[in-house]
Amino acid sequence: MCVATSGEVLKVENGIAEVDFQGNIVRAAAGLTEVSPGDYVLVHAGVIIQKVTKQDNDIMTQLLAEMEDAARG
Amino acid sequence: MDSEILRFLKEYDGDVIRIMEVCGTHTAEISRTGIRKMLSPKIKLISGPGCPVCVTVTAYIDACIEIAKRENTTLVSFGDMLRVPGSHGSLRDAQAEGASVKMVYSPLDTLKYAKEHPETMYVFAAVGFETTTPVYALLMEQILAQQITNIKLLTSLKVMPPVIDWVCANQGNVDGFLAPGHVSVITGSRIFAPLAEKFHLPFVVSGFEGEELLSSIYALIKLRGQGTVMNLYPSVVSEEGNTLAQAQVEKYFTPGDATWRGMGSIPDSGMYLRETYQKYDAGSLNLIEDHVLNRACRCAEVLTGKITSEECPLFGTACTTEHPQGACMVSMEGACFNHLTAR
Repeated sequence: MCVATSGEVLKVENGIAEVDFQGNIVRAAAGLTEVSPGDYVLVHAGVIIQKVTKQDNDIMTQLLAEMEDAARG
Repeated sequence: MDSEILRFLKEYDGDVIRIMEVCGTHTAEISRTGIRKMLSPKIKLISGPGCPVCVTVTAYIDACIEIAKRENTTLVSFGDMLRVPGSHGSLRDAQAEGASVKMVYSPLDTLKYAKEHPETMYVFAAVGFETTTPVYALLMEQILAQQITNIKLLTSLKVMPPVIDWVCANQGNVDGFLAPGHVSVITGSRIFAPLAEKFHLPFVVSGFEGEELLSSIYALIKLRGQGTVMNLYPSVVSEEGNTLAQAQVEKYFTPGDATWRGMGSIPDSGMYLRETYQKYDAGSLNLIEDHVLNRACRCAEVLTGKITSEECPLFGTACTTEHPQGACMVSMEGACFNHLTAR
């Protein structure tokens, strides 16, 4: 349940960010940390909880893809 | 990865060392990567109470079901919760019988439903650890800002340090902890320092990549017997954590005793809405009963690291991912789910 995924912020408007997860654009609330377009962020349950480095973003993106593959069997 | 570290971990021949992870995502990643097979038999990885769904008592599930059956009321939840067995079935069973249950990706999605259907009361099943509590704080912020009167929370929010303290005091057979990564994003690594000092145990904050986990295990072996906290995930976790999120949690929630499956009531291990906001609570206090669905189920001992999943007589036979008998087999972060799917 504590799974968080990372992506790149595309834009921020009225406290809501559009975050790019490998081409999948998702809206996430930005109320717990200040973010700007171009930032890489960690999103948990629809809320940005932290900024991350691009390197960490790449690692977590790969990890999530592997976990999804494993879940599909 | 440094081949010296890999060789050390494979050939380690010192005293048996027991390392506990208390993060469901770590549990899942350790199983997925097959890390156990890369370690000496003298390095034991054990899963602790790191899956919030797994540690939720049946009284809470029963309360969710009772709410979902009320007229003009919808129980809103993360998907993980739907299959967890209560005393008489799960939320999914109740849904099949006509109870109103809605699954969402984010608690904040509830705002939209509440505005579209003002005649319906939406109760969010607010389960989680320190990572998720700030999300509920943000939901409360929006409920108040938008003056929404048809959302309430049924909380089962828990915090990690008291339960780690419980495990150390009652189990006493853990030599080091892989500290939970995403919990630490919010709390900061410093939250584990008092526990490290109290029990003279090392805590290593770890990332989720296989190599990061192996490095953290190596560090825990080298730090054995030292009451210290090492942060091997510094690009994401800081010492102080997300202070803005901490302030939001402090604003809406206050600590209180909470009941954990298999461990009973642990002082100040839960978070509850503050008195000021009690009108937004759907009856979260005193949900303490924990009914065991199958008397042979040993989830409680698995959760505390007393036994491994494989030592439960139901594991892989009567209890499978299709027909779970206990919460550890339900959640994708549960120890039994991961041990079984990794086989």
